[in-house]
Amino acid sequence: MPDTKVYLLDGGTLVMDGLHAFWNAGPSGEIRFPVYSVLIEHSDGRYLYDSGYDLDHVQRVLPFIKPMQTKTQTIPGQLSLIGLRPQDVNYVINSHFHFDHCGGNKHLNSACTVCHAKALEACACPQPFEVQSYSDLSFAPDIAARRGGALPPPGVEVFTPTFQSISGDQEIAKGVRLLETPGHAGGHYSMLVELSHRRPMLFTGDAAYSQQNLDRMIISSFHLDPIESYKSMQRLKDLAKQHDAEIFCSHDPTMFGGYQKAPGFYS
Amino acid sequence: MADTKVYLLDGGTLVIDGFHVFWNRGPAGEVRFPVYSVLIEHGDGRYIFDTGYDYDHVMRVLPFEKPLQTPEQTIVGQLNKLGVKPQDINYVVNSHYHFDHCGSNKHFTTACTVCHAKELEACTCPQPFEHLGYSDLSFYPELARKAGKTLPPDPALDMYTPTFQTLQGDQEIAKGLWLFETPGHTAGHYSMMVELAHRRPMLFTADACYSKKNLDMMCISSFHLDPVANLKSMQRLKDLAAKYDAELFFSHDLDSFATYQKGANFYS
Repeated sequence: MPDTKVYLLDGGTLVMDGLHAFWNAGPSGEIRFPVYSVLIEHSDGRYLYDSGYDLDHVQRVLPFIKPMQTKTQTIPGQLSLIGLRPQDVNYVINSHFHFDHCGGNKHLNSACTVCHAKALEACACPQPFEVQSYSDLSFAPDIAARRGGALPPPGVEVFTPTFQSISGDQEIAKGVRLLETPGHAGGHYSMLVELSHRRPMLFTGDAAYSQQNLDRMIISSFHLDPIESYKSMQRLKDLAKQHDAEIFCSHDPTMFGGYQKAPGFYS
Repeated sequence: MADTKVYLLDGGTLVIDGFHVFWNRGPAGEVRFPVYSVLIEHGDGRYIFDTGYDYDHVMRVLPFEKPLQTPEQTIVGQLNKLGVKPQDINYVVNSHYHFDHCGSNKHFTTACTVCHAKELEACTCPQPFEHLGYSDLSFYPELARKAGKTLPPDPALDMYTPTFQTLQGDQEIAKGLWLFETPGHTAGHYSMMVELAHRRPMLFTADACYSKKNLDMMCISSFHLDPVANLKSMQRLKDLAAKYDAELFFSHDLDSFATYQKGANFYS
């Protein structure tokens, strides 16, 4: 059985304010931050954790967050760096369904979508202050239609994903664990991947944008439940300790520079 | 019985960021906003709703909020202008216990303190992100000492042993004087409505809604415990105003505050 490999797929960058990144604490001012996806080559299949944002969607709905994404930084572009096509991916796992984590789902048209049951509920019935975050429903055309979203333009292949919704902590494949870290959104999974030749990798998803959030114990200003969000950040710290795992935060401009990115990999 | 009178007592100003006022929306930039208390002269006694901030506390703990408060804008100074002494106040009602709403409770040594039961619990065991909000515990020295907080060396505080009357649910605490539950900003938050003889009822939102713009945008403030509950409370304020044909008085709205009658110029 070949060793599990982990590829980080660069998805471009976006901008937010320091008061978004660090709730009520800031300092304010523009922060340009990375967005990336994680491809796991596992003997059970290929798993993709999160799928970044769709440039057209962001330019149309949230242009003020100033997306910068080259063709190579799209999901198809990144997969081609390692000789893969979108249909080679078997499972898409979404930490949650904010637009910058599910924008590339639609390319992965032969994959099964795995998520927390509450994450699907949350984007079907968002709170008024979550509408913009859950604005890209292209990953679930059924939900988009129910919420009155626009149908895909003619000529676009109809995307009818299958969903597998789960709850609780789950080992979805040997050494690949999804761990509940709610608060940022209703239904949020972080992911722990065990590898043969290095410490486990703990991908926080948006339960911790950056190492600085963890160090200061300040959650992001985008949240559904700040108490849960805070507990989840503490849980990530505890998990990292328990598994001697290295933490990979979702939107950390400093740390991302030091990560190995595709076609390089961790194993 | 004399008509109920309502006096707005100017408590100075503070500064926060536009992203604090309008959660995740902003725009960024300093916003200076007013803080005030409400004195109600009622047939049953004198009530004060909220007591503003203590200048020394803010300078010591949150100087970045740039307090501006003249001696006249302290609660004692404001009451003095009306010929009222702190010991003339019978009840202090706190919408919640954030430092800019309870900073002068300590001057009302003979008043009974009225609040929501959950609010007293909340400031006893604050969430980690609420410590600054609940940083002024001088309204309850015994609690401050239990929490290991050092109070300023003020002999008056050693003597100050307030009595509390905790409530739950909506309550008419005196005829025409209503407390309505509006949680979310904090765990146990009350807004207050006062019915008057010669005008529409006054509905004081307190921090369930900082300003008219918050209400228009249906955007809560970034200081909150439970955003879902907070948004519901803002909707509740709209519904209450419609139901009672009440005028909304916002807690931290510089534009609206400029139009309010203040000091000796009372509402009745």
